Amino acid sequence: MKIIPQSKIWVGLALTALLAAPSLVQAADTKLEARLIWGTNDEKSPNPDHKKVDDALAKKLKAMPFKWNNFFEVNRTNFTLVGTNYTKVVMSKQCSIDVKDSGKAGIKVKMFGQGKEMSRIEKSPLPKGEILAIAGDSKNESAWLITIKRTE
Amino acid sequence: MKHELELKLQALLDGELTGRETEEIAALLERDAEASALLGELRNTRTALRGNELEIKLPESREFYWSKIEREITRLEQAPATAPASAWWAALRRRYVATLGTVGVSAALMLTAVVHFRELSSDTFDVENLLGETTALTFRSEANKMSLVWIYDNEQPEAEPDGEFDDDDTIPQT
Repeated sequence: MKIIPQSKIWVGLALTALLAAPSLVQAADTKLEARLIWGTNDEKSPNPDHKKVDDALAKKLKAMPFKWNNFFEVNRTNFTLVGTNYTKVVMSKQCSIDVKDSGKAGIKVKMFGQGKEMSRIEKSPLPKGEILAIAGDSKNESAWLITIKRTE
Repeated sequence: MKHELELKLQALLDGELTGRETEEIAALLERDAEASALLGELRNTRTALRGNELEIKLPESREFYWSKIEREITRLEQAPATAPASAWWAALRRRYVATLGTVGVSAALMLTAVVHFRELSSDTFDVENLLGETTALTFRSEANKMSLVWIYDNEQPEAEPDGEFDDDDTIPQT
C-alpha cells in the first residue's frame, strides 16, 4: 500500500490551517477617526475656531459631486472600537454617531440627530484610509459632513 | 536528534558498525546525554524482547507447515480477477482511507476559509432610514476611496438661513 509521507500530511494540514486561521481568530481593535465638517462656498467660517480641512481630504471632497468649494473642520475625534459593542461619539451638541465593528472588516453606524436615531449605515469592508462620509443639507446653502476613516 | 544518528545507535547495538564508526559513536555518546539515553533504552528493549519472546512450536513438521503456506499463496495468485465487491471495497478503503480522510479534513477547512474570505471580500454598503421624512442616497468613488451617504429631508427643502454656521447647525434637517 502506498502511504503518503506523514510530513507531507502535516505540511498540507498546516497550510490549510493557515488559510482557515482568519476565520478562527478574533479581529483586533479597530481605530477610527471621525470628523465633523462644514461644506460651504464661503471663503471663511464665521467661527474662527473652524480651520480648513487638510489638503488631502479637501482634494478628495472636491472630487466628489458636491457643490461646495470650501470645507471647514468643526470637530475631530479619534476612537477605538473594542469588541462588538457600539461606541458613542458625540460630534456636536445635537449630532452623534454610534459605531461598531461589523464583523466583516467594516463598520456599522447609527446616525443620531437631535437625539433621534435617523439612519443605520453599514460599510464593509472599510480598509485603512478609506472614508465613509455621511452628509446632508445645512442652513444657508451649506452642508454638514461626518467623515469616518479607519486609522489602524 | 537526527534520524541518522538514531540509525547509527541501532547499528551499534546490532554490531553493524565498522571499528572507526564505533569509535566515533563512542566519543559522541560521552558528550551527548540524549544519545546515550537512547542507546540505553534500545539496549533495554532488546533485552526485554529476547528474554520474553514466546517460543511457538509448530503442530506439524516444518515441511508440511510450509506446504500449507505455499498452497495458500498459489490459491490467492490464481484467484479470479473479479473479486467480490465487498473485498474490492475493503481493499480500496484500506488503500485510500488515510488519504481520503486527510483530503476530507483539508477540504472542510478550505471551505471554511473560502466562505470566510468571501464574506470579508463582499462589499456591503447599506443604508436603513428610520425616519419617514428623510431619504438617503449613496455614492461611491473608487478613485477617492470614499463612500458617501447623503441624507435629505423629503418635505423641508431647506432650512431658514441665519447667515451663520455653528455646531448646532451640524445636524440633519429633520
